[in-house]
Amino acid sequence: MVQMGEGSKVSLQQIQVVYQTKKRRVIALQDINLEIRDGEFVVFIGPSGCGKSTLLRVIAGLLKPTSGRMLIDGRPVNSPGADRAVVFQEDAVFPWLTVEQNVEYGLKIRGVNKRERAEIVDRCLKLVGLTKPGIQKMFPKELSGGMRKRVDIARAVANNPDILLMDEPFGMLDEMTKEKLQIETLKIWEETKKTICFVTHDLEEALFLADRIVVMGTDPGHIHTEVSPMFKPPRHIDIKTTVEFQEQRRNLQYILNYLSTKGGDVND
Amino acid sequence: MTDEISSDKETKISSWFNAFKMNRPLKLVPIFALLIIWYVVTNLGLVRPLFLPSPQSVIQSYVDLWPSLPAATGISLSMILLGFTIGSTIGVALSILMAYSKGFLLVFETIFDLLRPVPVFALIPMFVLWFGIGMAPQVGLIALGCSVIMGVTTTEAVRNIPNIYIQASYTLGANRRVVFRTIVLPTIFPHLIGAIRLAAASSFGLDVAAEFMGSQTGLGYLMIVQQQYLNTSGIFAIVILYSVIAFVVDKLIAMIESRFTAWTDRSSKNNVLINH
Repeated sequence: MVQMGEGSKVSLQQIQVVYQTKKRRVIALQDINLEIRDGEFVVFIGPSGCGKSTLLRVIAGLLKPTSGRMLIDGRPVNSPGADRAVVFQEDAVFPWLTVEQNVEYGLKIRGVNKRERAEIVDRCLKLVGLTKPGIQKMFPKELSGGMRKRVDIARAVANNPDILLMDEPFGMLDEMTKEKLQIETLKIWEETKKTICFVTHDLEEALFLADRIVVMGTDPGHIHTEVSPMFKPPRHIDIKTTVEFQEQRRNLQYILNYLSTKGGDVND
Repeated sequence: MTDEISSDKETKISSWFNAFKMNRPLKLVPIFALLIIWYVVTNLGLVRPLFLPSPQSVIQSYVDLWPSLPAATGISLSMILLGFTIGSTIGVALSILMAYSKGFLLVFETIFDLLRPVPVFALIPMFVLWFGIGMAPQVGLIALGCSVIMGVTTTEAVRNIPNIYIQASYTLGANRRVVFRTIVLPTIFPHLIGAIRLAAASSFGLDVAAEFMGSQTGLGYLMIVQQQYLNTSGIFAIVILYSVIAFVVDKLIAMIESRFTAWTDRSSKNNVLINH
């Protein structure tokens, strides 16, 4: 085994996050140790309140851990940066900008010239399946929820980050759109070779997307176990209906049921 | 002016007028009804002219007042514009500084909270005392009123910026300055436009009040003179002039508003309450 932090894309070492409210001290995350390889697709699952979204925000740099440290490419990081793009569960597409202006937002900040920006916007919209003519000049309010999510993903990918962080990105979408976007996400991952950290509570989504599933438990939020799905890339949507897939899904469900009912006992 | 331009202008005006006629005939009904009632009531002698002058006498007043109207209007309007600009700038700037700097927040939050409930009109005697009679107290009063309106709204608007946009911006590589320019300004702008309409409307009222108290010029002063001569129709004439100007200004701001807030879904929400 390689030494901690070396050769890893993301290395989390003894991360602890504590919220201090007026009445009590809430430990959101405790003893988080995790190595994520370059190009890996890691999915975080766990009962609500296990801190999986919090952990993603720590990796994004949006939340400073109370203690512990995070290394990106071996260097300590504790603020947000363009190397880690986030696709949030909420609608984070800027409503006052057109689709095109949204996608090129990060590029413009970096001073990429106009022609190059137009090229990248074109390519990224195609990558997320937004090919409707004239869509570039549309405002988000004219798009459906699924299309806005695609714009959001295109905006993140256009910035060419090393790591793509996705926090229950499809949680608010209907089943059909969700499945389509899962396929798109895998396609983007295979084409761009990005490292992806993905939070979900949808077990099928986790099994379909992940190279590695990190299962988290509550009280306090901690890493309970890791599961490696047996499905190697390229993964096809049809694997969802196989017996093996459903068997793994059941096993995961058992673990989660245990964690959400007896979660508190694990650390006792 | 060449024929081409004037004809172009004419078609624009007539098409605007047509649109007005076509889309809003119903809106004009209450206005005409009021005018007719006014005419009938005053001409039948049901009300004494001292309390409600007839429409004809109001029109006559415009003729009588004509020599002094342009100058008075000009002075009042420039006072309003000056006070409004100074006050709004100070209000917006202070609120944004308060949002960005803990020091500013510490100093000004308490002062603002103490000042907000003070009725601006109650300060008129103090303003006259401090700044004397003339333009300074008027401009000061309008500026104070506008700064409070704009300040409160800006503070609220900045507080209501969805966190998610700021976080998204940071993760796309923005720094504080970029966040301010690309997230803070565009999201608070629609709120500010609403406040600007309110502040503009208030500055007309503040201007009249200020001119009542201590002034030698302007429309409000002219009104006081009419009052001294018991010339009710003259007062009516000036009130109507004030209202028309305020109405036009409000519509102009509304036009700018719809241009800059096309991205919000506000326009589509307008009729929700009526339709359901």
